[in-house]
Amino acid sequence: MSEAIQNSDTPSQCDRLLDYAYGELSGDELEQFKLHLLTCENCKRELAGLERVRSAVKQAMPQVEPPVDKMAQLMLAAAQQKPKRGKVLMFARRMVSHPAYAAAAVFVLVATTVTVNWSKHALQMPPPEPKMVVHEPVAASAPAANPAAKEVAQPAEEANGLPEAKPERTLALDKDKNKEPSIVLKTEPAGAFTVRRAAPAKGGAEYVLQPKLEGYTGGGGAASGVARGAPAGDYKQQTAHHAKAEMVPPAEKPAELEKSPARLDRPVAAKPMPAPAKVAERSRDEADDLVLGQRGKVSGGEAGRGTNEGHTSRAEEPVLAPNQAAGRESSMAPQGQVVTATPAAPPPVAPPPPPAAAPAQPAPTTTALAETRQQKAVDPMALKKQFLALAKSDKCTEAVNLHKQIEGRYSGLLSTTDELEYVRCLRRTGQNQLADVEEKALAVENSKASAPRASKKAKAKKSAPADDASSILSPSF
Amino acid sequence: VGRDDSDEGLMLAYRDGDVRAFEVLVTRHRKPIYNFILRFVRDAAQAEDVMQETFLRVIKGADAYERQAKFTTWLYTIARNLCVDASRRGKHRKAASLDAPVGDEDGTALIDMVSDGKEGADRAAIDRELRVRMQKAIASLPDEQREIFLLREMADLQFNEIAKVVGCPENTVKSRMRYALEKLREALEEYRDLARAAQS
Repeated sequence: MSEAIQNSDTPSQCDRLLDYAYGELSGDELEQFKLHLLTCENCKRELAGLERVRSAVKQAMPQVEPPVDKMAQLMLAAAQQKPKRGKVLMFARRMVSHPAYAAAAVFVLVATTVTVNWSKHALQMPPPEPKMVVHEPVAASAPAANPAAKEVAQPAEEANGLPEAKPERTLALDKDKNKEPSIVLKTEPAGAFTVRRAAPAKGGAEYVLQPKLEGYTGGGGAASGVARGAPAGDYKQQTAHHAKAEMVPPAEKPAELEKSPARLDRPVAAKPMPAPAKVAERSRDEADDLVLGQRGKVSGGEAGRGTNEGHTSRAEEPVLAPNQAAGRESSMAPQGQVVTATPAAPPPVAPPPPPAAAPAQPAPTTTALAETRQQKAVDPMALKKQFLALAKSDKCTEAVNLHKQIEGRYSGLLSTTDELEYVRCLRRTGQNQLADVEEKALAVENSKASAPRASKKAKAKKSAPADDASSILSPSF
Repeated sequence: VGRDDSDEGLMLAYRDGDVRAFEVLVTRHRKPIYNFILRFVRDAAQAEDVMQETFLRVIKGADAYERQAKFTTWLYTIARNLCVDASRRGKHRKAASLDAPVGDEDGTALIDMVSDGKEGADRAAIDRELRVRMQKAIASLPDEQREIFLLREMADLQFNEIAKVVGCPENTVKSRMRYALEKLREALEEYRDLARAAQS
């Protein structure tokens, strides 16, 4: 029985005739078949007939030489369509095919993603805003008005309600100091840069490089500097948030610069003063340092601006105490209400910052991250409501200041109607030129937005009958 | 220097950008593959096109080539599929005349390509008759037997390689080969005397 199975499973020697005839047997199999061939007459006869046929076939079908004319074309094609897979692709394929390589690749990918995300967050971290003391109570419309937290972020220049843009730092690109610099780079509040180019004959031109905010989340991340040249005007009366150009004669520059000395270079007053004044002075100094933190960047000072943020200003960022951070998070006080503290009216807030809050000290990473999170937690809608409330209650200066803050942090938050309120406030505060610019920009945006809407409506009108017909014809499930 | 001269090594070299390696491959295989295609499609012009297309597909597929696959198996699989497609198109389905030019463009007939000895007119006539019979017998083989017979005799592939090319078990391949040889032998039997005379 087992022999029969074995015979059925293993081919008999006669079945190997074909392999033998074509030389596919070797070793023991070949020897065994040769022995078999000596005894098997049937195989001998078959083999003889097979060899005759093969011989006849070889005679009947000789090998023909292929034509060579297409070989050149073929080789040309081979050279032109040389496989694109280079060493990089081979490496990638090897990585994918091998489990260990694949695991390593996944690990590297994940690690890279985490690192990039982390660094992105770090880079997008908005610069700390200067703290000022608020004397007036927070507006009633402001949500989450924490009475204990009256510190708001406010540039020092705007503390007295005057949007005076003082040139804070000047960088002359010419090496010769005795000579009048042809290009002067000035940093201004709100992260703007003023580039002044002095033309020899016609005076200088001044541009503000304002980082363009694409979105709060900073998806693109890269801040794009926008250099705009506006008609001549007193740039000091405009906020640094907007473009301006001023034709300044080269000779006037040094005097102007002297009028606005760089506050960064100004030493902090060391003389003793009353306690409230000390607080106010400290606040101003902190604000100065924070302004420095804003100005030190290439691309601007607002949150989510760009990836360049944080690199140059990280060491200059102050560390906020927890209560300060909480105050920043919850207080939505209008900026126009911020005034400097006076000795007669000591502010009810602003506990002295901890020693770690020294402006020049580098901020610990954990604190900075916590601060970032807290700043991100600010409700933009609350800011918007506050802005509208201020605008409607004709507190235009405050509204304008708050608008700046909103635009800096949450670009695109305000609707066209809100922007119109802003324009109205600008006019009421006498900034007619800026109001005109804003109005024009709004008009352009409106026209852009209405064009696709109109075409969509027209399309919808056209396709309405067809849609109806198709809805009738098509079965609904 | 130190290049692997096996088909697979050359193919890998070409995959990595060495065009010379591909040239060596083509030179090595163009004759057997052309003869296989020629006997399959039975038309010289068609055979040229199919051969060119075969090598072009090798070029295109070089990126995906892995050493695990034997080059000849891959090459003849491509060629066989193209031949089957060409046969299905029916252009050259009709039995090719042995007098039809299959070789060079100067009109050399297939029968004239067979080396005729100088043994005399009788011997030449016998040989010619034998070749005609064999050609007809091979052409009359069923496609599945003929392709295996050609792959074995023309391309000199082993039975296990043929099984991979045509996509059937090796035993089936051998079985078809036996049937093909049997039919050819029957055709040869009819002219046994002629064959004996030709072999003697």
